[in-house]
Amino acid sequence: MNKTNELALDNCIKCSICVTHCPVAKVTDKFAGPKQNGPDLERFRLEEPLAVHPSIEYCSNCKNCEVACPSGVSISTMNCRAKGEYVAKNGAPLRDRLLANVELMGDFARLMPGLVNWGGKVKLFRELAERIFNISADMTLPQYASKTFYELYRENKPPVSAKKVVYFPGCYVTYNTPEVGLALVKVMAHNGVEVLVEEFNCCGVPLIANGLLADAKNNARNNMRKLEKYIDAGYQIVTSCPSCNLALRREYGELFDMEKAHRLAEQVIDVFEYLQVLAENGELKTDFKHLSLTVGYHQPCHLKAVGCGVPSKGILDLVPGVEVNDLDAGCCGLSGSYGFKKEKYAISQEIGRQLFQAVKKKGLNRVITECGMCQLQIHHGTGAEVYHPIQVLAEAYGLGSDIK
Amino acid sequence: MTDKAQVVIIGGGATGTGILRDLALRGISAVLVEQGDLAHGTSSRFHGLLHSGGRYAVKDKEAARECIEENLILCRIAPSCIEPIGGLFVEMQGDDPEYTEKWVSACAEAGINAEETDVQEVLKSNPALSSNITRAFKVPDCAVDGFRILWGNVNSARKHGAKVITYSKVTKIHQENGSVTGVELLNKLTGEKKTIECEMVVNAAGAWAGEVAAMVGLEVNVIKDKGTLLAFNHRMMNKIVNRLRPPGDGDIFVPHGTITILGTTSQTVDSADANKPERQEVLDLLKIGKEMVPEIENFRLVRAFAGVRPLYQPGSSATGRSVSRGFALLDHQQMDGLNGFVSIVGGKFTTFRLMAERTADLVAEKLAVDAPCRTAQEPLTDPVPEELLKRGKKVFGIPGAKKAAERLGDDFARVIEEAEQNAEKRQVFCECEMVSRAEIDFVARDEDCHTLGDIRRKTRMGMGTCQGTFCGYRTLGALNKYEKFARSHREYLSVFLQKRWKGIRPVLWGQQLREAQLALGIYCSLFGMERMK
Repeated sequence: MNKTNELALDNCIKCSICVTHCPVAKVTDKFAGPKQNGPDLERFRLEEPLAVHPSIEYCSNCKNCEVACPSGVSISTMNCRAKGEYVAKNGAPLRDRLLANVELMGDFARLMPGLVNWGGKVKLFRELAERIFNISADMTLPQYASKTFYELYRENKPPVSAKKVVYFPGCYVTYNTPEVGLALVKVMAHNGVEVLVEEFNCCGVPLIANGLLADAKNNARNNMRKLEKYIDAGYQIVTSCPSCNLALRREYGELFDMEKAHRLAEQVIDVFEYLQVLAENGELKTDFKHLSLTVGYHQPCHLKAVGCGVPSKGILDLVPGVEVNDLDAGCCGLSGSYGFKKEKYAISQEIGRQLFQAVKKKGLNRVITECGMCQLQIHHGTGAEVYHPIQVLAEAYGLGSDIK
Repeated sequence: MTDKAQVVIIGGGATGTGILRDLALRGISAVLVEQGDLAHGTSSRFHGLLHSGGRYAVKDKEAARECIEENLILCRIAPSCIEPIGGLFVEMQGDDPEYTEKWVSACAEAGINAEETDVQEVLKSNPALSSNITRAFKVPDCAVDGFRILWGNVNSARKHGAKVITYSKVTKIHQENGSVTGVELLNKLTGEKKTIECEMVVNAAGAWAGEVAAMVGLEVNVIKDKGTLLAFNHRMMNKIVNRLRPPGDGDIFVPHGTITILGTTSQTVDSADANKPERQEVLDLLKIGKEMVPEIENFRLVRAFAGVRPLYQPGSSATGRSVSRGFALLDHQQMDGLNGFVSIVGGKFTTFRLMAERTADLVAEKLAVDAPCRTAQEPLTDPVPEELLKRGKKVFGIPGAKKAAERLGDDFARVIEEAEQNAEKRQVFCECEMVSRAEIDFVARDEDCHTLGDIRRKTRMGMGTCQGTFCGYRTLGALNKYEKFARSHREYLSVFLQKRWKGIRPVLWGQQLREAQLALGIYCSLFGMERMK
């Protein structure tokens, strides 16, 4: 353990604000809470590295504890490491390994996306999967696209420009919603920025959340190797997924102590943060068409954790006719693979209930949010059409046709 | 009320309980009398260091040899009370290299295995230590839990018929025809009086030994030497670290359970109760400690505490560090012509068993009981079976089960059963030190448990980061259902909190100051403690 973390450990005054902000602890007593497995047990782990409460598996890795902590304690990082130690000792169920291995699942599904998508909706198959793998039969599965984002990008290369960024699309855009990535490429091109891509690995967040730290570190190393030349050349690395952003910006440094992690952190930027800078410099194109669109906005927990505010709001406010209602209803509850697990599905839905009610109460049938998993959960819980804000912007520029 | 026993032992510290066990194992009936809770005195107010003897090797070879012998015996008979983490002696820039050479050969002569180790390796695994360390030696120092050793003694003694009476002060020692015949007790909680008839009285009152001897008109010159120690919020290193130079203040760090203890100071005081740590002592300790741990000011202190060493040096005016750490067994029949009265004085925690053995040898001889000492062979505590630990982990988690097993010993099984049957009992009341409601309930029912402080000493509840802020009121809530805890809530709480504050006040800055503000908010604003009935 390095010194900074030890010192942050000393900052905990046991105020329990983290516990009151933990969406899981709020709905179930199966989780001992972030404080217990974080700073409380960290003191014991300095003597006995395996000092973990088994309820650690109920941590959804949403990071609200760390955001709420008034004392600057890296609660979530402590929890992630502890879960890693626990899993390293006790092993992870095959189910967790499957769900965490988003890339593997994506690569499998793309062989026959139609069949996989169809199978995911057949009750019988889902019940079998629940019985065999403990994967909830009730949770809506993500739909796989017929072509990956990388394939579509190669087919629709943006025009060359002097101004370039690198795009880290993340698995959900790669395999499930490539249209989001395409919208991003088009929006950037419209503003004179060329988007470069590289076939990156999964950022590692799903692996981290399941305690598979060694695998996650492997991914981090591979991605770092691919990013290195861009970091050295001073490129900004743009993301559309808040979890990928968080991984690159913070977790590669905090969890894996990687060399160059702090330089990577400085160069990683959310796409709307990037557009905001353009706007501030008067370089953002404002040739928007009137959209007459009312949407709800849900702020993903990991975007909160990144600490960049809600950059999409400032930009969408510029689009005439777009009305964005902040739902302000907390965590959606899905937390990546968490809500797909049979024993956690009910917890996940209970956490999301407030958000679902907010959508329904406001009578909204369209919602925007940056995180792919939040998109899926909101659709599952409300039936609303859910988009990434970049799709709305593409629509406003007259570059897209995703919004129904 | 009148009781009878062959021997009455005065003083419920390590030595007194050690003697109780020793006598009980020899089949001699004995009662131990303690004015407060067991271990409330010096036996709980020390480093928690089981010396290898290295500290005394140069100056007092006899004490060093006793230490290493006792160290090995205790590791064998009481493994659940000891963390065998090993110690380091470090020489630093500016320390006398000749002393190091002297020390190395003194250790060899005393039979202490001191092995030189690579300084770079030491720094790598203990990054908190200063890079000014020039040489480092490994010694078999251990961390020891004074409380657990004491209760180990008591539990074992009880199994063999011995009795313990706490919160009872000896008010008079009866004598007839030059022989001790009994003691009179006053129960400090109930005001009840009691007489115990006996053939012998053993004065094992530590820092209070002079006062006890005075009751029979004798003078035992115990030098009361206050030592202040600091408790840091977490383990700063993974080994005990001693400064390799002639023993002085603030030169030992002991990682102990969840905390690190730095000490001590040495100052002659008038009263055995003078155990209030002062801010200046804290600052002095930090200043010296900084030489070994340069970042020491950035580590959080949770409290300071002080104990009064009972030093003994007959016919000398020496004080403090120049007084021997050896012990003396005073046969007052031989010295003063009083039959049946024995005092055991001086010494240190590490050699408590040996002190008890010598005392019990003398007592047995006087009572004409021919039974050898068995305390060096008979295990003090039985190891907790693996199967029980597994069950414990399911209800309390890994660290919770391990710590509870170490604290509870044989009683662990009953606490697990309660927690297994009743999910509510699995609640963790003290989150800093992982103490479950089941354990607190179990301890509260113990006949020797009368205050929150008693529960604290037996469980570590209230001894962690928050110093009782949260577990204090939670525990009080659980005590509600016991008749014996029927006094005013405010009294229980304020006594408990004030004792905590005694140690917090001298370290009131940084994060501990924020903690104190939170505690103040909870007790004074939220609970309105000033208005509490």
